[in-house]
Amino acid sequence: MAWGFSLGALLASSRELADFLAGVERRAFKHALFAVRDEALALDVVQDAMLKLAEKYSGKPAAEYPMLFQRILQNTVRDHFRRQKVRNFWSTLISSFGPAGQDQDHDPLETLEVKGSSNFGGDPAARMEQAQTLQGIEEALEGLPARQRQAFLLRYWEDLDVSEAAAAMGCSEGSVKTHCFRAVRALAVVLREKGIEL
Amino acid sequence: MNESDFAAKIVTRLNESLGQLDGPIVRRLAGARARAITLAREADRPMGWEGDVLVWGRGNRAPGVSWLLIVLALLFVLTGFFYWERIQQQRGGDFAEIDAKLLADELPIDVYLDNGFDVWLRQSSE
Repeated sequence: MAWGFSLGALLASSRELADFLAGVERRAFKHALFAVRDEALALDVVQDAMLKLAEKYSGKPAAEYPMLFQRILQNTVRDHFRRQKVRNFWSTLISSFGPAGQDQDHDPLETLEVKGSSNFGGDPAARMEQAQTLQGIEEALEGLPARQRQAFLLRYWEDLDVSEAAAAMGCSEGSVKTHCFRAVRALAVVLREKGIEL
Repeated sequence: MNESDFAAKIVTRLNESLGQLDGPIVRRLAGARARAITLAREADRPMGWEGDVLVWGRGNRAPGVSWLLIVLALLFVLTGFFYWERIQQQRGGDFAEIDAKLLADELPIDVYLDNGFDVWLRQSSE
């Protein structure tokens, strides 16, 4: 009986976790992408965050998952930047000892990926306008200071309340409100300059 | 337009963008989710045997019966060795005490009437 109950609770808990991750994974990817600006790295960051949540906090109530996951995600992004800083330091140091001008034949255009052309159908003009608006919004978000972007995305996209956002960001509630206010003001200015009407 | 309304409009556009993620990204996210779920199930698993290994909770593993037998045998051998060492030391201590008493001429007179002691005295002086 106890085994049955335990197994049932375990399945319910993992279903809750699965539902939560399925709902949040794409937004989490975008969060990470805004921060690290590289799809592969963003995927790694989201995967690490998911695994950490599952390994350490899967036993927690499902209501706590959003705040915990966002906190883990922010920390994972921070860890990525820390590691990158150390890596850059050593690679700069090592490359300064190596022979110069090794990669002069390298053409950066060769590394550009061709985007998939799966967007057929619908009104091309409307689709183009939608894509441009979205691109403008994403660029404006990328251009925000990291803390302002985090506060904005956590408060409005993740729908966390001020206290949860503060806990996820590791700062005071007042700071979250200030960051959000500044983020909205900055986004409004940038979008107006780009001629984007929402 | 106030802060919340403006934010809501941006969020609407951002939500629209989620459906446009490339297939490989969506598949990789689904794979990461599946791995996380597997990990969570393993982490919350009740105690049980997995072959010869006792497994419980968050990936904790304990050695099985054969390992426990090996460890017990090793403990038995070590205990025997130390016990033998201790007996040897005790015997050595007894002999030293007899030697000291012999030199200080403090042995009881009965000892000299004991044939065993006489034999031991002759053997140890050879």
